[in-house]
Amino acid sequence: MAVTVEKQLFLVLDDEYRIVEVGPPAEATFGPLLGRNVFECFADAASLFRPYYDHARATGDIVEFAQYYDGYAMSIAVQPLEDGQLGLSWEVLGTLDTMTLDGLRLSLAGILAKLEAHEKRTRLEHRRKSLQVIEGGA
Amino acid sequence: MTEILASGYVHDYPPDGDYYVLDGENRIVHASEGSSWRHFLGHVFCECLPFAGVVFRPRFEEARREAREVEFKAFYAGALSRIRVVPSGSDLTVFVTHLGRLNFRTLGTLTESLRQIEAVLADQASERLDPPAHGSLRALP
Repeated sequence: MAVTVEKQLFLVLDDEYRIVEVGPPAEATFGPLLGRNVFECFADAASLFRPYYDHARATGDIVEFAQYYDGYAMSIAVQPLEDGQLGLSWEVLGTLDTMTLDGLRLSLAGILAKLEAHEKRTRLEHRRKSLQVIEGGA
Repeated sequence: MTEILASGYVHDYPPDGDYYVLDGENRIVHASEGSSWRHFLGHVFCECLPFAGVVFRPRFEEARREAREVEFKAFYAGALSRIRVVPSGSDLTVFVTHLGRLNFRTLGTLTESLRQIEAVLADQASERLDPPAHGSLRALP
């Protein structure tokens, strides 16, 4: 890995969103996709993930966000690396239960609650950071 | 169902259904060629298919108890299916036609296909709850 990182990275993407490194936790799913553009492998994922990746690359900041995709709600951290690469790690917040209609409704409600809680937390952290900047500047 | 299939689901199932046969103890004793139920031959269906007992068993029992064919739609394992249960003594032949699969790729596709499935099942429920009106009631102003 080119840069020392705080979290273990699951995936490294190059500047064209090709998968160039796969960490052990993601090996089963992403190992066979090494070298391929991640958005070409996962339909409809570009509009959900790419804005955050682009933001991380543009600002040079680590971006954390929560997103639902293909049955999973995940908290994802995007870390800009050298040469336009991005390091990704994630944690599963919830999974969709598609076995029965009741299970589906219940798990969807749980996923939506977790996404909302994550968003609220992120907004609060943003506000706190902004306040720190203002207080530091006063 | 045609417009539902066209508008929301990933529909990669064959148009006509597979079938399996349950004996009086709900063991799968026969299944159509190439169907996934062949893996479960000899097993009690609700022991090898999680929650299948909750979803299907009441209607299977109805067909057996009333000795008549029962048809219904059900959501199970990510798919909406039309189920036709034909009793023969204590045996049941269960014909399954997959109508569509839940598209859970994004929250948008998930909520849309869930809405469509719920609408189909709600129609079915209201059909069952709305028996034909009695002649005397029809006569009321």
